[in-house]
Amino acid sequence: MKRLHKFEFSLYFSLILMSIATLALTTPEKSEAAACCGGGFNGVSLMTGDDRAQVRASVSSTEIVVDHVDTSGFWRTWEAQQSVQSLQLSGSWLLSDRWQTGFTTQLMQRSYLDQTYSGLGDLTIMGGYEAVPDWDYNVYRPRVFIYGQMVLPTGRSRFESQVGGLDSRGNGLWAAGAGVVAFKAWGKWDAVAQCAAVRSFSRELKSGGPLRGRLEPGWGGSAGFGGGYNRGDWRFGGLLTWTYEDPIGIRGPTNISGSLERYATATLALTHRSQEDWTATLSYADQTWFGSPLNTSLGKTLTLVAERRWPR
Amino acid sequence: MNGKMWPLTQLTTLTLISSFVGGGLLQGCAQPRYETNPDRGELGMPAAQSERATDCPLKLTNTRLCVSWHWEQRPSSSQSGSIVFKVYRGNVLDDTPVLVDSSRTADLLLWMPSMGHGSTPTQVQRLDVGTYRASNVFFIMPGDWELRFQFKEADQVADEATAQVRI
Repeated sequence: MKRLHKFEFSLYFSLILMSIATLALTTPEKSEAAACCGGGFNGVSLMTGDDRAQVRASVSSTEIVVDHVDTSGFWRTWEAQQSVQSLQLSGSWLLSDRWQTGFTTQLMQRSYLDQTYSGLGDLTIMGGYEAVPDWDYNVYRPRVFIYGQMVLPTGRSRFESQVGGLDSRGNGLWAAGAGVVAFKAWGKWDAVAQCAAVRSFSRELKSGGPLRGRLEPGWGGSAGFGGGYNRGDWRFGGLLTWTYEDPIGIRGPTNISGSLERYATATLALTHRSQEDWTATLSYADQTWFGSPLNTSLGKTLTLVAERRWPR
Repeated sequence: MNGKMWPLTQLTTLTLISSFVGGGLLQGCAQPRYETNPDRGELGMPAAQSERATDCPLKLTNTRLCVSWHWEQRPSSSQSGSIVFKVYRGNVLDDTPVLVDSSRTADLLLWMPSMGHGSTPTQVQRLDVGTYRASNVFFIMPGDWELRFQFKEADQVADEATAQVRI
């Protein structure tokens, strides 16, 4: 009887730890955006804990520390650098025991010298499925989620910006993609691995922009892994994500082939479960630590996340 | 699972994971190569090959006109600069450059082709026959840029010549 009680307590404690861990591990996905000019993709709001719904709000501040890494991999900095602030809102809820849906959107503000521009970013809609559940709490088998996502170009594209991308808040392209997230916890330790691929669709540049023609994008994607350590109501974790995007060319009166973009984002996150259904996370993301970045800007981001969850 | 075997299995698994992750992290550390071009000028901009006030190396795509350009004031990371550019036709006798006014509206577009964005719009004014000044020339970031000398009809680009510069 005593052993059974201890087992139930461990199970309950493990579930709490798993919920905290999954929140903290999925939160840093929001740092996938390129530091400059609205590239990259929103992370998806996938529920990987035992909840029926969740709402998450985050505020982040990015300082761009490397203005440009060129197509040969040379890093360039200037005295004056951009800064980006964003307010991201996401929500997700269960449709059935294993199916879920959700959204992610954000308001962005980009500043450089005395210029500041702000507005709505892209909207991402997600549908997810728990492909491999872990109902029997197997020691080795992870929980695996697969999802599909659609990106609605509600943010201005940098290709149509009249101010060098300062007012761009997304790729400005319709895109569809799919991804996989695997998560596993062993006692106080946990680990996550994820990958996603996104295909952006071509479209005509809007009149009134600096160039005319047709945008010809390709594939983009990300892959990453991370882990964490849990102690009481606290969790400390890390996540490393590589992001890639095919060149986006312009065809028409002006032909521009574009260049591929890639970078790696390392994230450290400290999470506290303040109440039963509330969680707060403070994370720091740095794009200068890992990878061989090409054709991008690199930033350092501080993010504060608050999340409300409704258990099943 | 056997109680004695469990710590050993856990330890082995953790060792394998930490070796894999640690090795991957060390291999994947960024190795910054900062641009340290000794030829860069005071404001970080080398003279482009096409930057000549006396010859006419940039051919327009749709006419037999050509363009030369030079910095009147070099920009910095916080200050805009200005460019003077001239439009020539070839002399009918020996094809030497002769200044000529374009019948179209001259403009200068700053474009960063690798990143897919431009910069703040420039302002172009005619100074003399075939001679124009583009002011408010400002680059939002360092890197390889294009100076697109455009000649427009009814707001459509009818002719264009492009120079590459490294900022």
